[in-house]
Amino acid sequence: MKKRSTLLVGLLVLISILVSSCGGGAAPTQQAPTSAPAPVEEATQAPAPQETEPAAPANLEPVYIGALLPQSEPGAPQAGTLILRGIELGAEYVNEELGGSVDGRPVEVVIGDDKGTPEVGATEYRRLVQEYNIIGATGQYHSSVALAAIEVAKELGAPIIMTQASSKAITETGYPQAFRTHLIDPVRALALVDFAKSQGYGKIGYIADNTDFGVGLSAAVEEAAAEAGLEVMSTIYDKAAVDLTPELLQLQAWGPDVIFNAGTGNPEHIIIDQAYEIGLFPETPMVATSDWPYRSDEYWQLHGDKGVGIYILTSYHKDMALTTAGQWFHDRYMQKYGEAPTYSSYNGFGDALILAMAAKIAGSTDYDAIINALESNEFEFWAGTVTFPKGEGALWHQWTPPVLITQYTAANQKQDEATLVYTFNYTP
Amino acid sequence: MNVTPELFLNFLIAGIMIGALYALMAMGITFIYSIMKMINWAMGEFYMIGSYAQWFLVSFFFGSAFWFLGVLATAVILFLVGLVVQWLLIRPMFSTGMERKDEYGTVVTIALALFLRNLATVLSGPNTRSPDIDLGRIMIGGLPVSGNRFAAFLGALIIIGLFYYLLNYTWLGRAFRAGSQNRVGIQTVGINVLRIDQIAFAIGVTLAGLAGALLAPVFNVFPENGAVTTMKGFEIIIIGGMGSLPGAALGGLLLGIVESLGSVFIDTGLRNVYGFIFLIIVLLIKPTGLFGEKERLS
Repeated sequence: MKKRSTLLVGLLVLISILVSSCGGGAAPTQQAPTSAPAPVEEATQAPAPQETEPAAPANLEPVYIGALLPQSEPGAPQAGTLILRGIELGAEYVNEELGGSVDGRPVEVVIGDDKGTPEVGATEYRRLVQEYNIIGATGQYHSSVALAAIEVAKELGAPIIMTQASSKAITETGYPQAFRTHLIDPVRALALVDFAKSQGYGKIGYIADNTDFGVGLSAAVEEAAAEAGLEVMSTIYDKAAVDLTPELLQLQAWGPDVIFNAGTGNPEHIIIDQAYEIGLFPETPMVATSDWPYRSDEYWQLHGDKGVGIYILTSYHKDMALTTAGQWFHDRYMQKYGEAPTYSSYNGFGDALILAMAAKIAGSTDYDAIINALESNEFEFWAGTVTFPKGEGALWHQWTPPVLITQYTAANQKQDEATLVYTFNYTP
Repeated sequence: MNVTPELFLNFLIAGIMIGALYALMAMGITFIYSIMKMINWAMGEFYMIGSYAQWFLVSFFFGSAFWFLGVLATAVILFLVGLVVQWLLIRPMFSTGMERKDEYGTVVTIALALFLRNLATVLSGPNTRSPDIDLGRIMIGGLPVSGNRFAAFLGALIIIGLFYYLLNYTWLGRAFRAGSQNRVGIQTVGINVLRIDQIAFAIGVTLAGLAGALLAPVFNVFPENGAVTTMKGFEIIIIGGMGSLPGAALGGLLLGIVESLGSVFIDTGLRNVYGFIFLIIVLLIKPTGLFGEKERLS
């Protein structure tokens, strides 16, 4: 019996480890060759897809792109999955349409599940670099994870392009390895406040968790609102909280004209349900400060009619002009998943494309050469072209996408059916 | 912020509502501890299984109108799962001459928690889910409360009542109480203590699963949803006194109220800290917890 119990415990631990590793990348470990950085003279346009470009030969050793994103709670695995779809299709696009990355080598994606937890994210980034010798990482969704990962990036050298991490502190570090193609908090806050003002809302109720994103955006909203002459009441709750009724009652008692819902993970949904429960929403309009309601199947399954009327801050709308790469991605995504891609997927796709092209331009997997290529070239993105200027403060290596606010006006709408209600014109 | 009496009452009601549900969770933990003298670190995962079972049963079998059948079926499922898990993983603690029971219990239940959580992630995918149950809104005092939450609150009270009846007015309950006092003693009167252990474990995890089923439409269903409730459950059993069921009930209610009022009068961001401060104060005043008893060592 003693043997049986020992065997059982061992078996259980083994199965746990096996099951938990199911989502990880399974490509074999290998050392990618490195060479001296290729000189990059001046800003050049990265190659656009050529009809005659051959597909990457499958027999060459691949180069690896690290997808560092949440695949499980307490992170936001839903968002991580959407970003990952984009990154994987980005690799497919490079291999099928652009003839591969460095020396025609095919691109493979290896996954690091950061669990939305800084220490896990830092460890996973290190593993991706040391185990796969990735040409760079992308996919970051949680600012707190990104902040931890760039500290390791500074040490190991592989560049990271932030796909949806928006804390301004990330690019404010000025680290050569930190790049971003997503909104920073101050711009997001300016857009949110400008929207509130345009709608005649004088009192803003802000609710977020105590993460870098929630706290950082809170400070930015307060600053932007003060300049615009609007009032703000911020409520920051513990990320582990399961019941937000007391916080919402507090906001309700203050009498806001609009609620900014900056929750992440399950609480972003809880806020809608519990605000509805106490009669705060939809009586008071609510703005989702990122585009998580675009995960429309999940959104409507969880909220049904209660979710109608929500405003959504995003960087994508179906009427936007897509590049050749963006159109390829849209069509392939529709074919593969039977639905239109969200902004998360578009940006994941674009970032993977940029990394692969930067390595191709550099002609090397050397990190300095890739960073140099990123800094010196224009890259075709899913919409428009991207550059990474050496700007001041948070504008270091920062490319800012369009800022839009849309609204679900009826139950069960898909993201493409949301109404565009506001466009923010940002000039740095 | 200006806290009016009406607003204060609303916060109090919100605290009591969540407190009753905390209590249900904590009672499962403390019940298993009182009988088997072991901590089940996987209780949150049984809560998670309960919530998934309710979502699945309501979505694919019973429909929204018969959601309560989902709760009953979840209880049966969790009870059977508890019987099997206890027989497979916990029983060897007592049926063999194992010397380090505490260490074994800790390792095996933590491994079980990891296994169940990861299995749920793999099986259910990344999306958060919720059973399609909408019981409208009702007014309690000045506080509008969702029917789902009120049903969960009432369900928790009914289950706690039934559990109280089971323990105090049935033969099985007397056997449980006797077993919690003297495991050797009950064997001398012909009670199979291993069978009592197995049933106690199954009942304990069923309580957690029922909390998960009742709260599925309120707090949603995802693989990690039991983690917070487990942490609260352990706080509560320390506040109430290890192994004390009235302590778990009162501790749950008090924790809910302390968190609700603390987040209003002090700072919402420190919600989880208030419970620990309350715990420390209780232990300073009464080191065994509210209803805990001093252990007599020979």
